[in-house]
Amino acid sequence: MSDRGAVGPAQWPQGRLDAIARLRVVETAVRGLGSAERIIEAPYTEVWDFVSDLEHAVPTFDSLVRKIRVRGRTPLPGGGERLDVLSWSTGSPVPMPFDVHLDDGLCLMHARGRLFFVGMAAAPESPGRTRFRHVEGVPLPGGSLLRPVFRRTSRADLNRIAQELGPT
Amino acid sequence: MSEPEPGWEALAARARRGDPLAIDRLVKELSPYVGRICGAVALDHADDAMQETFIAVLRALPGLREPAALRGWVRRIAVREAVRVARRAERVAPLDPTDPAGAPLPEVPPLDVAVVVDVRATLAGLSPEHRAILVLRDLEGWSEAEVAEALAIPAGTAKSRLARARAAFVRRWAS
Repeated sequence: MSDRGAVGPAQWPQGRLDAIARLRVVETAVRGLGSAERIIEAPYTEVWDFVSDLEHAVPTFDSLVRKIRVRGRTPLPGGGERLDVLSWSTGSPVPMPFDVHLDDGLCLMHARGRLFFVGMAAAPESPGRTRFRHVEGVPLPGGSLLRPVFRRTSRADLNRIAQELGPT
Repeated sequence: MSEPEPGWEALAARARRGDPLAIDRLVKELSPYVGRICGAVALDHADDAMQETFIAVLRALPGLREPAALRGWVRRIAVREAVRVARRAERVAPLDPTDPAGAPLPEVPPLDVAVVVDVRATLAGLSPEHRAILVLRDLEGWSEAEVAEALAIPAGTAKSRLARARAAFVRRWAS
């Protein structure tokens, strides 16, 4: 048996859920979310380096956000970080606090009080190209009525990210 | 300092209330475990099987009576979904849930997964049901009763199916 090289259980085929699939799974369990997905003509590392710098990136592609401030970061067991974030909407002097989970290729932002949720996920599509998914919405009863609105805003955010990072 | 690990019950309770951060945390924590079952059963379609498993888990989560039994419950769903996805992808009919009478059962000892080689290629020659029973019994170490329950087949069928799966595995592996 062993002349063909021994392997242990770790070499048995292993399934893997990439960040896009993880976000899709979350979407199926949270009501009221509108989503959009597209290919961005830029390498994954460039896309994720840009997007995961929330303080700089979010106000550039989300027209409803004026400012983001990260107040604290805590590592999560098993990888990723929990961020304590304040977000100022355009035209509002009062910030909204968010609990954020940031992982490789995945950012989930949940407003305290469950008033709003934003999810972003990225995965390499092919060399120099990245698949990106954006979802947002009000995860409360009745929130699904606003789903078409959040589909449009998600698509608009994606297009701005693509403009920011894509070929000029 | 790292955030304290939440217990399964607390995480499942938050996920049941629709907390997206808890849902993702649950999915992430269970992914290696679910990925092992889906990988061995659904092979090239393991990623689809994992996604289907978690969607089924989250749909059924509000009805879970004992959050402490979450892992066992999830693995049963993973097996079911992995077999279903593999059957669909490979266009194969389900095996007869009762043991076909007649042919004597082959005598094959339990597989030693530490010395098995070319696992993927060998598994690919088996049916999804045979892959499922091998992975549950010989990789995950379930009892025959647990395997029978997870696959929704009688205990006698689980026993005979395991013997045939092991024999098929060894035959293909040795060829």
